[in-house]
Amino acid sequence: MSDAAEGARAPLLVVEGLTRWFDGGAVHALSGVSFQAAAGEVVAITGPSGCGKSTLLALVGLLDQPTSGRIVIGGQDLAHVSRPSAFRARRIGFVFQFHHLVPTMTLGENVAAPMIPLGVPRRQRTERARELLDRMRLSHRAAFLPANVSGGERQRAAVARALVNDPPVILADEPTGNLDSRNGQVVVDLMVEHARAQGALVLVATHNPEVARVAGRHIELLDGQLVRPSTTP
Amino acid sequence: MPPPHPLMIFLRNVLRAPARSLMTSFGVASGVALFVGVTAITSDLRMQLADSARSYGLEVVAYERRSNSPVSSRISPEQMAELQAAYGTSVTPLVTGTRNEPWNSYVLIIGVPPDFLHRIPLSDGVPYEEGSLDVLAGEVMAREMGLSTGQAISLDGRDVRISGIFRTGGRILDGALMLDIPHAQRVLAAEGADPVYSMAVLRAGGDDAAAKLIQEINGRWPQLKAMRGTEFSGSLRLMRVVDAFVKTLALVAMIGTCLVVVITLLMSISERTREIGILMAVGWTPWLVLRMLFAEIVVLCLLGAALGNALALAMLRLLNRLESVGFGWIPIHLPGWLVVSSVAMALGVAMLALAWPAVILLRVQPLAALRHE
Repeated sequence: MSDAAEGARAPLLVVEGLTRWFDGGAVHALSGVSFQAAAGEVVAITGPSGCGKSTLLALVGLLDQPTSGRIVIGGQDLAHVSRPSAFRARRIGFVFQFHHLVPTMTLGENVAAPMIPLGVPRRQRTERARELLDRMRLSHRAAFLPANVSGGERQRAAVARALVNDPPVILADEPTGNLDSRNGQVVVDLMVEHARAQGALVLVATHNPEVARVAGRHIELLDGQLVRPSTTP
Repeated sequence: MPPPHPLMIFLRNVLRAPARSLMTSFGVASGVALFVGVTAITSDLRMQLADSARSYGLEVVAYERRSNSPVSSRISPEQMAELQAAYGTSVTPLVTGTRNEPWNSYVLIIGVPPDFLHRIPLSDGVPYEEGSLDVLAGEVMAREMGLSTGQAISLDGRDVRISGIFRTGGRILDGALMLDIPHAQRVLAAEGADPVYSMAVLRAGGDDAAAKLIQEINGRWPQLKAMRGTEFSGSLRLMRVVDAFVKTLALVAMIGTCLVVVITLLMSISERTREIGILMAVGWTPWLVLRMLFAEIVVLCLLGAALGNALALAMLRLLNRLESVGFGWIPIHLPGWLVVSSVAMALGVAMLALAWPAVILLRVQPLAALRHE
């Protein structure tokens, strides 16, 4: 997508001068990063290990707080969000590199977990989780514990969990890093398909050129700074 | 297919470290068993004494003010004569005590007037014959010791005949031997000591009359203490000491149990830090995580309460079989209110134990938890 096209759509995500230092300023994980992204976009964030990709996703996902700068999602400045948990449950879907499913919950229960803080009734939770698992071709695994399914199935369940509340922003941190190419492609396709169908913004931090290729836009980070903002792949 | 019950998740979490869960439940069970066992004994004793007082119309009880128990209470024949002169036939003198006999190391002896002996319902044998050296054996004692009507037993070195087996319905009384007062005084008096009474029970004829009678006796005989029969057990110094002991024990048991549960919860949080981070990342609040941990700990505490009650019951039944404890002093059933109290105690422990983990959870940063190794 060109800058002109980006400007034509109202941004869902606005990141302005985002800075995150650790150890009292000894480590500059991010320095003055700014960009915007619109609903329905798939944006790949690339760069070498330690360049700040995961830090950026953690900040956008309200798992961490910036040293300075501003993040706005859907018009809401994250600095003024009073209940980060509720905000994450409604607005953010996370997909991690190592699936991060709760080992004592079945795939169905894991997928339904983000609906619990929103007070969705149990039956509805189960139906919705089943619907998502079905879409991920995992309905036959709903009652299985993560330890009893394959790595690809776990990651697909993790994607289902990220999508279950229909969040407008999906953050995926190396979602294919632990998968073979076929399973990796399936996971990426599912996320892209969802972004297109639901008009969600997907931010994918990745080393994988295949993943970066399917993204509509490409942001490259190096040493915590944007080196190639808002480019098409 | 119906949705899986959330309890299944709690059970899976509880079963992920089965040995630790079991130890935690046993920890709770020990505390509950201690609390239930001791409380059952004291409350049952109090209830039995109150029931006996009601059943036999023992509205007012007078005993030696400085004594700790009815067994150690001493009322001189002169004082008893004064009471009888003042209140006539409404006074029933009693003699109580215990003896160590070759056939039973703890024989509870109750000396009562002949008319009282005649009133006691018998399940076997014939009523007491006045002036004889016959005794009546309580049904519990007869059953436990294999005694029967007509059998001779040794008492204070002399053989006496069991003329009948009585049943009052109160286990303590039914675990005793009942004989007439002069006989009981002879059997229980130390060598060379004058015969004494243990206490006097009085019929007053109503609540107001009982209150007036108590006031009168306490004023006129300062060395005696009079009170309602139903309150008698609670006023005994021994019972008060036991009560204080029971409350202290319950507190210690609760603190100990709490510590066991707190340690389990802290270990659980420490081992599951990453999981907690995942749940927080998907929108769970610390309170929601805490609720999940609470549900798990409630499962363990309820299991502990069930085990504790079973353990207490087994302990009581075992104690009840010990001859040295005496027959009928130990209850062999647990009252419903005590079981409910013990479950409430276990739930209280679970709630109290949650305070510290709650503080830790409120400080958990989801990102740090996610990166926890």
